[in-house]
Amino acid sequence: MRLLLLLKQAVLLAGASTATQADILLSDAEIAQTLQHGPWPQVAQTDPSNRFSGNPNAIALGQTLFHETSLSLSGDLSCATCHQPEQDFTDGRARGLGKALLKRNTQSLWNMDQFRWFGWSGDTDSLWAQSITPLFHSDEMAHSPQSLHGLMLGHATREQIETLTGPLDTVSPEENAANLGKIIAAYVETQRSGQTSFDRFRDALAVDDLATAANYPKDAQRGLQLFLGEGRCSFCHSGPNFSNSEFHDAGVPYFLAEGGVDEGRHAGILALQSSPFTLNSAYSDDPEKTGAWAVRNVRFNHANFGMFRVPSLRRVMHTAPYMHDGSLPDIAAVLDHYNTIDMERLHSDGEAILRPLNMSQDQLDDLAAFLATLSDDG
Amino acid sequence: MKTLCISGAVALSASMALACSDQSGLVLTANDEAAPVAFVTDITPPASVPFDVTLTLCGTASAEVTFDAIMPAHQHGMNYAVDVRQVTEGTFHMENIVFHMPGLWELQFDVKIDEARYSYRGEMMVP
Repeated sequence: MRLLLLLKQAVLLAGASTATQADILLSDAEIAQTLQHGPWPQVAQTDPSNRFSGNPNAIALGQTLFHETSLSLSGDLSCATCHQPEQDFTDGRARGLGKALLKRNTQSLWNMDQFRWFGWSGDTDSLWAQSITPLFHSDEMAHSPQSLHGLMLGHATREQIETLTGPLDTVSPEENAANLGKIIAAYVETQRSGQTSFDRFRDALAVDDLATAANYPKDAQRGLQLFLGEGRCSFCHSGPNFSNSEFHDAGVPYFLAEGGVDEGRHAGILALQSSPFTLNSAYSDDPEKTGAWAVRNVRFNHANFGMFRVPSLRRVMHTAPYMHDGSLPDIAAVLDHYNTIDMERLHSDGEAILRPLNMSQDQLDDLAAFLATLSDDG
Repeated sequence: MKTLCISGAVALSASMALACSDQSGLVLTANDEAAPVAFVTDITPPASVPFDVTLTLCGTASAEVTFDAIMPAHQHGMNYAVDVRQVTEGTFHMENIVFHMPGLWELQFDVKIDEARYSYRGEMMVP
């Protein structure tokens, strides 16, 4: 009798195990690929090029400065005017609006410590250098190093700043700008997105916990399979941050409606190479110049024209509109773009990665379901 | 592309001979039967994260070495030049290689030894 009971339990357990395995649609190869997209969150590391990175006083002051409209020459724009924290650090507009309509979509500021380059065209190689850029852009905060230095000498936060930097009247205007950028960056780099249902699925697969993994919806699993395979998305949207932090031509027009072109990475490399604020410069606080190899060794290629940095897909459902020019209003439009991509628009001598996906509506829905699981961290 | 030139004939050292008797790395394919045996550190490169490899040229004291890599399936190369430096006789270190996409990459080495020029190829898979 007891033997029969044990036999029945064994049969039931075997049945449960089979059912659980059947709930996982991914092949072993796809599981191996999936594991490359984690773990998440990544271990937070301080930026060695920014001596204020991780400093609680700098983080608090950086948050204040981030919202400080007096940092613009006109007194009515702050970082938060475009990078609105309550809108996932975006503004919901196709293209940013400063003192004039800007060329590009306002990017979110999540997980910035995961990137090698900053901005759509990688004009900068550190978050602190990127934080300086809008301060001096003529259509944004419109300061010069000298006017910004003069402003800060009489600013309400001067005492707090000097606690971190030393006397403001003994530093050059450029060093003052670098210090402000570093204080703002100390705050921005703390904005890290949380664990999503995809991450829980990935972590369960990593330890062979199929019962937990089976909670991940089937449509998202099918979408993940398309993302890794037929969709070819993971070539560029790779790693735990779903971005390889490099530049690609996604087939989005680079002509501006008002005339002219947005040269993308081509202009970004030129800006980078003429910038005084790089990881290879004296303004970096890192004596080892960690990461400076990138600005020293970056290649200037013909194909850089019209390339833009691959955005992260974390919290992607909250950061519409999409692409460098904000021309695609929602995820459905983005998927349709890749499904019917115009091959005539791509460089003839460029990368041979993109081609029309020709997916069915069900497949596109599955891809959208997968992307939603990168955005459900609350 | 950066090239390091170490000039002058140097006798084969015992340490280099030892390195070539233990070819535990990825052996490269040469374009010429006369080319010295060459191999590199056999690793699985990370996607879009800088990594280093060491090239060993057996029986070679000095050489000019240049390195590049392409992704044949996608018809693109690397976004960065690679620093090459000789570390000992016959061994060369390539720093900050970035394979920015998962998939198969082809390693390409051009080597000049005295007046002879050789090309080597190898493959690495980025997961």
